[in-house]
Amino acid sequence: MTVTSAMSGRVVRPTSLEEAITACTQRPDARIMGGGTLVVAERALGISTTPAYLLLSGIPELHGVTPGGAAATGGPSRIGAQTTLRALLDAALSPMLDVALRSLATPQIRNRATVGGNIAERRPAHTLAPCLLALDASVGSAGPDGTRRRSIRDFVAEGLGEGEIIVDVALPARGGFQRFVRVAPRNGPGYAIASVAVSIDPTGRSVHSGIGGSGSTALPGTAADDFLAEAIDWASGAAPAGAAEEYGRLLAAACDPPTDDRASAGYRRHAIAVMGRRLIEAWNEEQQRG
Amino acid sequence: MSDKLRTDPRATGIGSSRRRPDATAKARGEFEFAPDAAEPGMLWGATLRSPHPHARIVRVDLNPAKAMPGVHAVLGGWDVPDNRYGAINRDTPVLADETVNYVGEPVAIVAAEDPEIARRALDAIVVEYEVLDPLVDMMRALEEGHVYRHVDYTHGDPSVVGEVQVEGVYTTPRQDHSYLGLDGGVAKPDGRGGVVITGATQWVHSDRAQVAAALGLPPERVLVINSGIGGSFGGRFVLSWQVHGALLALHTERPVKFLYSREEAFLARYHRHPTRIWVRHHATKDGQIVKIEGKVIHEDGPYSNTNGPGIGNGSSLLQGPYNIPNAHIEGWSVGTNNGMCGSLRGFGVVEPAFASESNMDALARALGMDGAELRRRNAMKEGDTWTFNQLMDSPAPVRELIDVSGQSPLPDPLADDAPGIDLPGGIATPTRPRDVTRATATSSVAKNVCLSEGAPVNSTALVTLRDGAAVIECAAAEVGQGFKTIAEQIVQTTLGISKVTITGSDSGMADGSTTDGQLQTMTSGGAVATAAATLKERFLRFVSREYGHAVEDLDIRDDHVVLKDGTRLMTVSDAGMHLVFQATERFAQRQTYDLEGRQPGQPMHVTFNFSATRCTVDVDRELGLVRVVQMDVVQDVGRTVNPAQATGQIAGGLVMGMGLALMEEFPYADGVPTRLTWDDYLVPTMIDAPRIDVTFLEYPEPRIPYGMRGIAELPHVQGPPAVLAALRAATGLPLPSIPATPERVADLHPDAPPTGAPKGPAHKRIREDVESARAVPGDPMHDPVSPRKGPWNP
Amino acid sequence: MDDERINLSLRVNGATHRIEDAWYFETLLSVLRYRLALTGTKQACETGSCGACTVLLDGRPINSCIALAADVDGDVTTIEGYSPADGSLTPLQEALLAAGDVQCGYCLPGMVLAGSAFIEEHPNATEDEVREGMCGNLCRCTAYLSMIEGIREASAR
Repeated sequence: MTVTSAMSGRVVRPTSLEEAITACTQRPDARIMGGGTLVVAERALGISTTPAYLLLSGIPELHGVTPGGAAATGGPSRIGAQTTLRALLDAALSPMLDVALRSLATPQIRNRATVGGNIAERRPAHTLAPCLLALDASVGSAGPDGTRRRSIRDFVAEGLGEGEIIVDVALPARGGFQRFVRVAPRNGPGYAIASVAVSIDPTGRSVHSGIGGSGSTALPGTAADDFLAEAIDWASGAAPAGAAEEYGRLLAAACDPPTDDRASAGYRRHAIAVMGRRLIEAWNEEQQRG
Repeated sequence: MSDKLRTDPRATGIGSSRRRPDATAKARGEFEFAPDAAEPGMLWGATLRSPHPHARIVRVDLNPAKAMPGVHAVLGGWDVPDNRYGAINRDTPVLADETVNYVGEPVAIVAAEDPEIARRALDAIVVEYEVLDPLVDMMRALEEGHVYRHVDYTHGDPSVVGEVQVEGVYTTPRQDHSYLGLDGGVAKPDGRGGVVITGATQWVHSDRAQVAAALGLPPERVLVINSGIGGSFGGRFVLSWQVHGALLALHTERPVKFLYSREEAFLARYHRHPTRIWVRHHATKDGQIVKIEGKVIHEDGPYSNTNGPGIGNGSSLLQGPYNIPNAHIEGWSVGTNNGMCGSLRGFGVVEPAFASESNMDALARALGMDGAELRRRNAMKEGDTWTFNQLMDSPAPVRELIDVSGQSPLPDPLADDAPGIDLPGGIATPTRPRDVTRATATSSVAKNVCLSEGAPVNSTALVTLRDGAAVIECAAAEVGQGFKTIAEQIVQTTLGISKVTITGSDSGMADGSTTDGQLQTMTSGGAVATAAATLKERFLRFVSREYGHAVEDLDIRDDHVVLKDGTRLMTVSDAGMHLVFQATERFAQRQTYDLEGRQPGQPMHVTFNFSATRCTVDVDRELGLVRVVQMDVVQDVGRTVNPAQATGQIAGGLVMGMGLALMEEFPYADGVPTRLTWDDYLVPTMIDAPRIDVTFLEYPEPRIPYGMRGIAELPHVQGPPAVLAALRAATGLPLPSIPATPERVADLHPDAPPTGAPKGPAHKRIREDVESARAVPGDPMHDPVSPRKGPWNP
Repeated sequence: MDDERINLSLRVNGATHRIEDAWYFETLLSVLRYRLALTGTKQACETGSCGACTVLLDGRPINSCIALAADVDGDVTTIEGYSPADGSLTPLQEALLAAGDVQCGYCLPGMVLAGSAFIEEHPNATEDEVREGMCGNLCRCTAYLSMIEGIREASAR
């Protein structure tokens, strides 16, 4: 603890989840903060004057990664909301997360930014939500009305309630193909223009995807995923000719991307379609290689 | 890397990679930069800025802020004794008085005990605005006659018509300097009615004159001291916080510190002017260029600032490094409410170089000729005459530059299993090696060196020798470019001694000119060399008198007085008998004259430099992702004073130019800037940086000691044409606009407008791009930059 | 307004500092630079985009500009603490300078600290490893050539 007066009225650092929820109720104007990489910058930029901070860093049960079992047979992996992106990267849970985390920020940011912070505000440019959609994750949260666990789909659609805090993210054991790709205005770190995460699990015969940067929040590619799960010949693993193209088209059709000063809606749709197509081509190539 | 490029603190003299004298302090974090300046008892200054691009100020009430505890002064425009400043044209208000003319314009200033209290005091100031329509479109500004300067000149026979004509309209964006060292420093009362300003500037004497004039003080009551400068790139030529700090210091009788935030730096400071340039080359069928026509528009913001010389540079250098016998060029600098514009590395030349090199790419295509061959065939050489009627009377080895740039080994082919970081798009790229088109292309550029059109270009240096060690005093600003290192090296070589140091820079010294226009090496460097030569002569005359050798027999080598045959007589230290020897010399570049109305033989520019670059890019054409793989640059530097530093300047400038080519743009939407952080305004990172192979040619610059020539702007000029030539070779697209974003390189031609209301400038820009790429020459309906009236219509 | 001020205690370069009456929203960068006069940590972007303000927290690089001082729990190392007390250079600092193209140097303290953590984890680093691992540090003057070179050299075991 670095705050000697444990609770200045404006910096609250609870040491248990229960305390945190109480603090949220008592201080509804407080900005809930994981690593602060977004929240602290806001004040410097004059975006918000942030009357108070509620720090989640002192709550032991929000920390840590518990790896799950082997694909299909094991239990889920649990990722505490306060897990830093660096700790998540080190946990090596998924090849998709590996690439996504390495692309999404700098080493300095990864050492501070948290999993909860990356998904809490459901910002469309943030990277984890599309990955979690593709990994079919669930989000555990706690609030004044108790705790709940929701699918990441519901979470990105609904967000957090008043005074609610993300507790953890659970990743079901999932094998097979897992990829994340993005297009961005520069090759170095920064927010993507659009991104696509896809996982194809031959054991469970399921396809899940998430799309980033192309709506008001990350979007699941449900129609495309359903199409592909039907189209794939699961015995051989191959998707038929034209399926990759159609998959990309369906992904793009699921989006209502914005036109902003980075890219037009048209480019975003195009990029999503191309990314979707190439990912399924990569899946097919993996199948052919065996 | 070659050992020649490894820096060594013990290395001495011209041609060595002597390490910068400030290197150790910088690496240890001990070097004081302007934002680190602090004084006991200092207050913090803050600036209230206009939220509107254009508005009339109806009422300002400072009293609520004045009443706040901890607030020591709150000042408005009426508190400024002579409320204008400007490095060239003195037309910019220190604090807005009647109107505000851009978002970010200073309106009031505060000094308080703490930065947060100062910020809160700004919030308490009441300003009532009557919002006016902003002028945000450069074409409208031109049509409505908001012109700061118009130039129009011809060369040879402007009625000549070529067998082949190729034309295009090219646009370049507003670019931010984005130097890391934030604007700031400390102003403090000198106790005698004057003020001392410690900050970061390219020219302490220009700052002093501007501050003194605005405060109504005699110049000697203002002392401007350069602290450490965290980059500059042309961005510290004009004042930012300095008059504000001085005013508050004089009002409060306390030191006052200013430190802009990054957002404030974006808002407050000027940027590279956006341009729109039409070029038409006329050539014979075998590729001899017979005429160039051009119309150049600079969008130059709400105040004239430094933009007169900008359009002078822009319209004169449009021809590029080619000998073109006939020309008709026009240029306009126009005013809008889209923020201040001014100098940025390669001032006024980055843009026409992009336009004319782009049109050269198009001409080569139209002729079915290799781009490098077209450029070789028309390469300028010494003795040719520029279109602005100036004899090229120094080396212009353009053909050799082009040839040598083609001799470096090409990069290895892309591996089939190349990781994302080596592919267009970087880590997590969707690009597979098989999606990549690789292309290599050559381009060449020219830039004027030194300030032009009658601007004073001179510097004074004092060199003192005592006990075998020399100290240089020269006010030239060290912004990172390495002047201090090369000044030491020049004196080492000239005096034949190893112990040489250089002092700081302040306005109490003689004028050391501005660190601008790649002029310091050959100007302050010239002053240092001349002063050292005079000092050596004096010292050897002394030795001759005292020790009885004929002065013409004496020399200094390796810290010893020697006979011409090399025989050592004594150390320089002993020979000097603890006496102090000094010499001061002023070195002036030749006089230049306005572009228009010169008499025959009167130069417009002091001199020029030239480079050629072969650039290799990898492109994912479907997604528009790009990776610049390698740039092989060859530049004539006159004389390589410090190979490591010269390499650093050239490679760094190329990457800054690559940033402009691919990602850098500071856009405004309806007069409001939209990118105010480095998450939005993107500059190249280590992942984006290409391999760079730098080769020097060394054809000495006439009239300059050691034949030194400026280096540092040209590589930025070179960056965009180099990258775009390769991108065009890879895609076959005209790519008339930079930055070449993924969207532009993917060349989408969306038939239907995107869903949702198009907002922000991006959509509009893309449409214009598409239209200009499709423009049919001579078809006014399809030429997006030919208004039906006005001088623009070619 | 009184409750806007807090007292902090921070461990910096091996010493514990008690900071009284800091603003509750102050960043680690602000406390280091303006309350502890450790100005070797550079202020440049305030959004965690450039790495100039990099310090080590328990040995790992973070952007001090977006770390809330009240939320810093651990040992902070700044460039002043990293640099040898006798005024000399570490092998990493020497390698970065020797490799050549340091210019304004404003990025350098952050580059050194991020680099020190990087080479700990990446012995004999490849060029691509350096480009990825150091991508959080912007330099506007150079082409990064000698930084890549210098950090690779310093990572050699």
